Amino acid sequence: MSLIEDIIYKNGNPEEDMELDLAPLLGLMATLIPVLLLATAFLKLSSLNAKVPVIGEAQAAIDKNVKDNEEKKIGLYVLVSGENVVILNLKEDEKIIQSSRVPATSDNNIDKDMFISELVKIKKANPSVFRARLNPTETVKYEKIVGLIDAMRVGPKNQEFPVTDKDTGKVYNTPVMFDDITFGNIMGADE
Amino acid sequence: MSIVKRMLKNAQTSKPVTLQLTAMVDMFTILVVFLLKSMSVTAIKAPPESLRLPTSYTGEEPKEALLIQIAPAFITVNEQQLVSMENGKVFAKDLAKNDTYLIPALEKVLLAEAEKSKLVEKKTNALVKFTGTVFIQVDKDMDYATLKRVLYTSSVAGFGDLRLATVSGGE
Repeated sequence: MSLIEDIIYKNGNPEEDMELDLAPLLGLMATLIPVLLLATAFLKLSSLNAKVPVIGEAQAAIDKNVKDNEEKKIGLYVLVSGENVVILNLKEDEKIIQSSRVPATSDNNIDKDMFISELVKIKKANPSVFRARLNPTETVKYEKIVGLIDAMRVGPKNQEFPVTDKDTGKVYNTPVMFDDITFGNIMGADE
Repeated sequence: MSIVKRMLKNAQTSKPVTLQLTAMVDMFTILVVFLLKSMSVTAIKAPPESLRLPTSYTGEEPKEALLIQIAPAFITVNEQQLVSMENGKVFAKDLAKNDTYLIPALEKVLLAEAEKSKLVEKKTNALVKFTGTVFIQVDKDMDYATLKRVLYTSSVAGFGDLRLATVSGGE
């Protein structure tokens, strides 16, 4: 009998399926899963107040407009009262150019739909304004402030606004409305 | 033949039972891939359970910065508790006597952090710049009054670039 035949017939049936020993792999998985579960953050955090990422050259055009807004002292002043009334004042050099008032809803909440439509109206009339100052009164909840910032930064779905590059004169369309938001009343008095 | 006898006979003749692990290994592989995909590589720490963040739709990826947490019971800087609060209100004893918007304990730590960052900037020849950026995690039910005091104190200490932490609402 040859050595090969010896191996085949003495050490096992060649037709029998070879089974892979999965136990060590299972052991590895059982160790990996708890480690990954501990290291995984299921809460996706994000950061507000940073500029909205805009594709291509539109961001440069927005930045130039923001600089221009600062020089001309033009900006949208958003006052939020404790009674959930929002007043929007577009000011240039301390003078009110355009103003609107968003009353609270019947269930005493901020009327977000009306707020957004008023923002869109102001933005359409003044496409070069990106600067906004948010002045909530002390009793306004933080969640509402975040909701307002959200609404101010980007317009409603599928709505875009033209922004002109001050240097080249080229016009871009962007969903950004009032991107440069600051808290205006941290020194105490409401503006 | 009784059941016991039949069972004994079966036990003597049948092959040893092997556990089928293939399906389990498949399931574990899917789980590991899912967990690896959802693993966050950001250095930003998740807020404690007592601090519930609001949801936003326009936020972007957070960047590492000095972390201030404002929960209804405390204010922390880099997870070091500085001020205790009750229902999100700062006690009068924790506010400066001549300026009721300033929180001295917070100001002291922020000034020290600014000093540290400026020293790093100097030692690295402005390779690591002090930008005055703070990443603020605020509980969604907090009144603006407390946030206003924290923002004021931060700006006094030289931290004017604030990033508000929110939970990403998609879109």
